[in-house]
Amino acid sequence: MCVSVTGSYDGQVRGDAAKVSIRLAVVSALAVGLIGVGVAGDRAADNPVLEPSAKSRTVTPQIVSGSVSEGLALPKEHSAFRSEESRSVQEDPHLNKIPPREIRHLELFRLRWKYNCMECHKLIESEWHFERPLAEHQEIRLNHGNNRFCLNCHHPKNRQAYVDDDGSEIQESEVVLLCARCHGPTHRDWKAGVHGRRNGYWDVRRGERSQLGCIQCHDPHEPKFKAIPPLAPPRYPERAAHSPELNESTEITRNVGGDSIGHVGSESRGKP
Amino acid sequence: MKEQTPHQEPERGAEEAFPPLNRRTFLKGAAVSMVGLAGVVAALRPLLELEKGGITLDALLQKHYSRLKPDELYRIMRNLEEECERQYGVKPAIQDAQALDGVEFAYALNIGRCVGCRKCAHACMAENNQSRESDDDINMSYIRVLEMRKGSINLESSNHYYNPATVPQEDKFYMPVQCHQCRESPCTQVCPVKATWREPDGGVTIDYNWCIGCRYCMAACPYDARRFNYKKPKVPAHAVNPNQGYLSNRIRPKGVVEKCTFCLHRTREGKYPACLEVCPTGARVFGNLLDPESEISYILKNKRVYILKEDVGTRPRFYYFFDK
Repeated sequence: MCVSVTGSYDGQVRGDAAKVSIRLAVVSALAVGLIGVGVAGDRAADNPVLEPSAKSRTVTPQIVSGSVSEGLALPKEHSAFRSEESRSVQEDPHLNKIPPREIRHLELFRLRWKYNCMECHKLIESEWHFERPLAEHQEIRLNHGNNRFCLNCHHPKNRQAYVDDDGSEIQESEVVLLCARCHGPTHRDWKAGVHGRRNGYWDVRRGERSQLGCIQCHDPHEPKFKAIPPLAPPRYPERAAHSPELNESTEITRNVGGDSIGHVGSESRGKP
Repeated sequence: MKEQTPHQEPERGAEEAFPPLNRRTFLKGAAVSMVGLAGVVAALRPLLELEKGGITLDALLQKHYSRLKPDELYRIMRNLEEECERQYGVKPAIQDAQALDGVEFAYALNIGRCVGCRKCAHACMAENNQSRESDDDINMSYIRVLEMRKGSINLESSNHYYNPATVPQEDKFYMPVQCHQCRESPCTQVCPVKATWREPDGGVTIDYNWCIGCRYCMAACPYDARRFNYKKPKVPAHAVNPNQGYLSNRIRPKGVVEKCTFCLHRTREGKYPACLEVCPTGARVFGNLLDPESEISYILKNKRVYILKEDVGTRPRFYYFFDK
């Protein structure tokens, strides 16, 4: 900013004042701008419409190494855009390490509006039977063997938590303790790393290993695994001594119009 | 009357010393020479490949792995990387991790949990760069999942070509089999050139550049763990796993034996093998047997454990167990 060298004292004071006031204006404009952005950012976080879709929401896994009571490791879904995830799950793109089940968290999503369980359950009395009179939760069918009551697991007063043997709450971060109430030996095996799958490094001095929690494999309302289609079998040898029909449970000869060993044509079975 | 003196060798004329060249002798000689020539040419085949550039003199005269100096091994690995890039289109990173002290690998598989999905067999193909005819081909996979009838362990009635609509089937259970890295391995005993040996951390390894392809080890193995490359391995570029180990999953040449190494290139870095990482039911457990806190030690202490073909006396490192 050029000030005339020959300017009078008055002019200099006015020039200084102008400089200061301009700088003050710039700084305050910046401050207002930052605060405004901050507020807008908060608003964006609150407003679920601006958030990415809930179904693909990913969770930073808590890596379990050593003591497994520190928390669950929740591996992200298998996607190309992974960020802060354990090295072990991020490597090996050629291996399919997807856990069997995606967890639906406690937050319910209805019309992309996130709400807390207690917002409804404050108003509604808990019932022991599970013929749900209202329309909500009808898609859940409890098929857990002898465990026939919702309130065996869910806390009657706080639906964000689960219930322990003495009526106290079990938080979602420790949900394995809920399953451990009845499945003690399995829980013991899980803590030792023998039940369920571990990924990553067996040598914990050199890397981390992650572990899957109970509900990442088992649907808590229907825990028994469904049967899945197997991946492709090995090719039957072309010059085998006998035809594949003698393998009783193989269905490679029953496919019409081409089977898994590449024979095209429905009637050409076992023919090299 | 015989005038001849007691038996004397009659003088042999030139005609007897050198029988005349008639058609019969000519053809006999020609046939023998042809056979001999064919034998010599076959024996010199590696030299012909040398001329063509199919193999380098270095590789032809390479020493056994245990006699290689570190810089020689380094050069060999770099050459292999370049060759892989030339032949398969992908430049891998071949390393040679050494066995750690105080580590002995062991593997356990929970028979009650295996559902027979074959993800382990396919992951093995994805990890170990075996030859394949198509993306789904698992004939060379080191893992073979046997479908067994419930009630007993009868390997002869097992079936590994099963392909029902869904698994597990009600009346069957599933038992994957791979190399057991036996403590008393028959394969290492019978190898005529000692191309396969037991490493100190338990794995049985093969030096692919030393193997002569006689397949005696395949005959000796009671578990059918070994696979042979009858032709040059066919691995499409998108299927090559570039993280390779010299003794484990580098792409093999034609005419050598390969087998499961418990993913040496992963486990010696401290990671789990590929088959364990993909199992959807967590039926597989791997670890250091010498570590009392490891999962595998827990299993051997607390579960009902058995091994296959115990009567053969191989003392394998692969255990099967039940939960109940």
